[in-house]
Amino acid sequence: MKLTRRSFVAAAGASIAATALAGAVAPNEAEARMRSEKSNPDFRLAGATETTTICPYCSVGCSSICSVANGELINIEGNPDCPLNWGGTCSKGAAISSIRNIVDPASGALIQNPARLTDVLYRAPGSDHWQTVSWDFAWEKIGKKMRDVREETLVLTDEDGNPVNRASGFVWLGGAALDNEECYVSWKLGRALGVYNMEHQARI
Amino acid sequence: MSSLGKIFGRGAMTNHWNDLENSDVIVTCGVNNAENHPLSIKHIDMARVNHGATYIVVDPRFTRSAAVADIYAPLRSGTNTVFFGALINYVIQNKLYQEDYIINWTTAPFLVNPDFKFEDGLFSGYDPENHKYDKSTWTYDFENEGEEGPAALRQQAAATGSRPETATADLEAAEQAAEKTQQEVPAAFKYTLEPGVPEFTIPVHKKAKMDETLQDPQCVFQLMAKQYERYTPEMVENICGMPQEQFLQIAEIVGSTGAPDKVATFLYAMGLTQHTTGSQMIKCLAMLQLLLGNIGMCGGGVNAFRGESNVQGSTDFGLLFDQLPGYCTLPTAGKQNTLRQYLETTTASAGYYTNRPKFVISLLKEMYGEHATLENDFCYDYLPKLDGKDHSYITIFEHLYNGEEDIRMLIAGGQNPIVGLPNVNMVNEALKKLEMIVVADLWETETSVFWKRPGNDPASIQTEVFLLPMASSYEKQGSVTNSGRMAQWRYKAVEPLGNAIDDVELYTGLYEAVKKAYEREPGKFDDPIMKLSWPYYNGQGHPDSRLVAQGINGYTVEDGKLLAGFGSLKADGSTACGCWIYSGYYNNNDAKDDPTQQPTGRQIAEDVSEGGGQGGLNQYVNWSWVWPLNRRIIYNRASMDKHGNPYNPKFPLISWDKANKKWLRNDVPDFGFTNPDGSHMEPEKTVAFMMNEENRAAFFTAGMADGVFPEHYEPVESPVANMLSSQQNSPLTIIYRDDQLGGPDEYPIICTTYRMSEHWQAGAMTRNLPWLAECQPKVFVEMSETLAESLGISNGDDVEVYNKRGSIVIPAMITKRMKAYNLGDGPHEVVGVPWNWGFASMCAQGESANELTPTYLDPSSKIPEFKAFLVNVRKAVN
Repeated sequence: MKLTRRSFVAAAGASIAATALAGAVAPNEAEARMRSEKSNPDFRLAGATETTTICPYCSVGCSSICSVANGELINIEGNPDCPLNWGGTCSKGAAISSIRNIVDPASGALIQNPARLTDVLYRAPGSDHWQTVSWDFAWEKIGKKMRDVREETLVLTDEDGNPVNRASGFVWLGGAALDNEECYVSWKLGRALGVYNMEHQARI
Repeated sequence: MSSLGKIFGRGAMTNHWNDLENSDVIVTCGVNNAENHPLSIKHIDMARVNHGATYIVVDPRFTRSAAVADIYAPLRSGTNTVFFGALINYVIQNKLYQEDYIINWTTAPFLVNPDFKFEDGLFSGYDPENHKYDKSTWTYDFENEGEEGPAALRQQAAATGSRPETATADLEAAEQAAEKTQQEVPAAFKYTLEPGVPEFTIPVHKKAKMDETLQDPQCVFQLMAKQYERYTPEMVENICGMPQEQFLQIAEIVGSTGAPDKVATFLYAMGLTQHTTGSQMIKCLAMLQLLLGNIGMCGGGVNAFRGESNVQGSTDFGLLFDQLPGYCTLPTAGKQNTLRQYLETTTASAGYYTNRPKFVISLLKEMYGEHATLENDFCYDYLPKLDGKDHSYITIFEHLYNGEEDIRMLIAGGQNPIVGLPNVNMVNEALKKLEMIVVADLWETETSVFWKRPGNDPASIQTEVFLLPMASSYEKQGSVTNSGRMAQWRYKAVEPLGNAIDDVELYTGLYEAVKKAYEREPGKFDDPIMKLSWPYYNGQGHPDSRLVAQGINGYTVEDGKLLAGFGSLKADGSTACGCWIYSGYYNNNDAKDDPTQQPTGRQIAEDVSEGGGQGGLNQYVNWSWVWPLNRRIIYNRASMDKHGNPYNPKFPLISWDKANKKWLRNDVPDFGFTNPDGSHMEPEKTVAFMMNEENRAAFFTAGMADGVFPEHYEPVESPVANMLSSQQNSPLTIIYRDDQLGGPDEYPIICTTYRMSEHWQAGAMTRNLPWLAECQPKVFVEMSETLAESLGISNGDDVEVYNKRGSIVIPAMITKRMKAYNLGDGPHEVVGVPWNWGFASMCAQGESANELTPTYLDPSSKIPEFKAFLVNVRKAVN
């Protein structure tokens, strides 16, 4: 029998539940271990560990396999075990590794995508450029501003005497590009601040 | 989502990607899925190859989907209600509807209030001065109008005996009252008698009169037949620009799926939602599918293809101005000042939302932990209360632009409104009014650098801006919900770059920052923040999405044990749950730290049964987890007749095994199928649409702002008059900036906007990737050969596309894919511009189509019109 990645997975499938590890392990380790049980080593990149991911673009939810060697991403390709895409990707899905690393046109080497942000940037009022600042600077300044905006725009009771506890000062946007858990903490913090101008991509 | 929720009970795709393989007829109308959901084509092709399914594409343009379809038919953008309404008319006139289905599972036999009327494009109760409907006639004809049932009693007080009201009363009388109340409380509300559940008056269920022969002229079915008798093939030709022969060919194929063993699925996305009449278009489509008996079936459904990887999830989690997680609403001041008032106005009188108090109280427990008690209404007072006015996305920006509402600070996570919103020149001015903008993203987005947008003078813009570096999807872990409601876990492959963080860390950082600021300088009412529960730090003291997942899934407060599902939720504060519909996605108590051992993270790609079924129906019930409760096809009770026999024996999704008194299941039943003793419930006692108060799918709904039945109105900017009534536009459309409204004399060309496979939404996620930028480097305007010829434009020429809102100069792409529509009064040209481009990215910059789009909103969904407006085109002068 010719061994394909898929047939190997089917054969190995039964043992997954029994061998996966419970307890306090880092999730990427557990998943990497799960995959190392599942996938055919002949089809793995040498020296790489595999984890799966879900494409960040459309809503089909295609699964892909990320290969990592020496702590760095070296490849992403469609996951042949996922019934949603059976290993296929579209043009965007085929390109997701370049969200992190691109091929340097000059040298042909894999380099970090130069457009990715790696530091906090700050633009002062009236300025025509960014300056790089620390997270401490950002949290301090943003936290104070959030407090002040809330204090200055919080309405506790409306004209009719109804308790309302709402702060008009914030516009709170985002969600469709976040994970569910991130959406929930965003929602929760926003509402605790009294935000009602809360919206995201679903409205457009 | 504003229409599907009203008609079926849940605002979500009814079926899922793999299930497309089970369809006999697949109709794409309102989505270009080959372009924008490319892997959907894989499943459609399986249906075609495996059992000869027919793939029909109806679209304003000959799209990449049209290119692979069996049948393509054109349709002028914004006229979908005419097409769907004409299909309804065809199905009713030719008696192709599935009678057993609509009598048992829908409100077709319900009788309607005799005062309900429809005349010349308007429903009864229209107030032309305020552009509003008085909906008092939009009701059924009730059997028990005005009746005060047992539900009107304040039964909790009597039942528990511990409350002050009863403690002071005569004990014996109180006991008798309690006993009486116990008996009279409907089964669905027995939980309200338990100690610790806050007091509230449970609603009276009103029962509609019915005519199961469907002959009464005031029954829903007959009213619907009357509504659409004007929607003829001639109207389709004259209004939509679809030749009659093509319409009839499609109608025959779609109509054939009214047979119980044939099924059609309809696919749509922003091609329906992004219209001022979008919600009604979707409702019209849903009505058609109900008539054909195609909801709840393998291979059927109304399948809304969500636009982004987690827009289903972000909607589920209530990131909209008036929402709580799990499709509960944020309270409104006045009518919902107290928890009691909230529960009394939001708890359904029948159906599953009789349980709503459990969802809301468990949410408050998750938010405020030990601070949330029965005595303080579980911190209900901490929730902001709405003022009853619109605060949706576009309205917020109009407020900001106009200096209304005292808006000062914008926080945006993965959002780029200066490219993605309509009328971006307005958005640009609005952003300048802000004191601070915080953008969290992977890239420098146009919104984060709006101060250097061409034409802006940075020195005059006083807005402070922070741009925070974030982790990408595979540099963190968490779940994302695809269009089929499947919450798949994304595992982390690598550490974030440089100083980037993930979004759980971001919101934790903001929480800590504002809390610290309040500790330094207390405020007037800081309890909602200082008492907020944030138990998401792991052993290393680091915020961890796995702990958030446990809060979302829900647990018992006493011992922190994860709940099996939302069936375990309580209304007495003993359970905490962040989003009830996700309860069950992360419920394995034996491996709380390990997503691979949780339903969300499991990856078993076997096409097996759920319980006693044969498997092999493309359901893959053990691949990850879908809400609710891993039900793959919602409303699946409607795939069977009353007695549990599958309508389509080829696809016995669920069936009743009469001999053994058991449900055989290839999917998790979307109905209560077990008795309290664990035995299986007889089919005759079960219902198909339990999220609706009627326990049936509702053709006739008062839930929409602009009408009971979908009716065609022209887009606000249209080159033609409405041929179906004297109401040119939907009377409730929210129109901002009517001074920028352009008529057909000045702006004779229809314009529509769309996306490209190689680019993503507002573009930051793809215009920074060299491969994709190389595939689609430039924005363009696509136009017909006839238009190009009449304007003297050659392929590749720079042309100006303009209206009163903006003007962009972009190259012309002249194709046979664009064709003028032949309407009643002659040909009308159309152009299309993809909207993925903006001025700031590493590789592919370009003009934004949204300079041209208007801020006209659907009155129900508040989604703006991106798909049908007017422009003019001329050759650019160099």
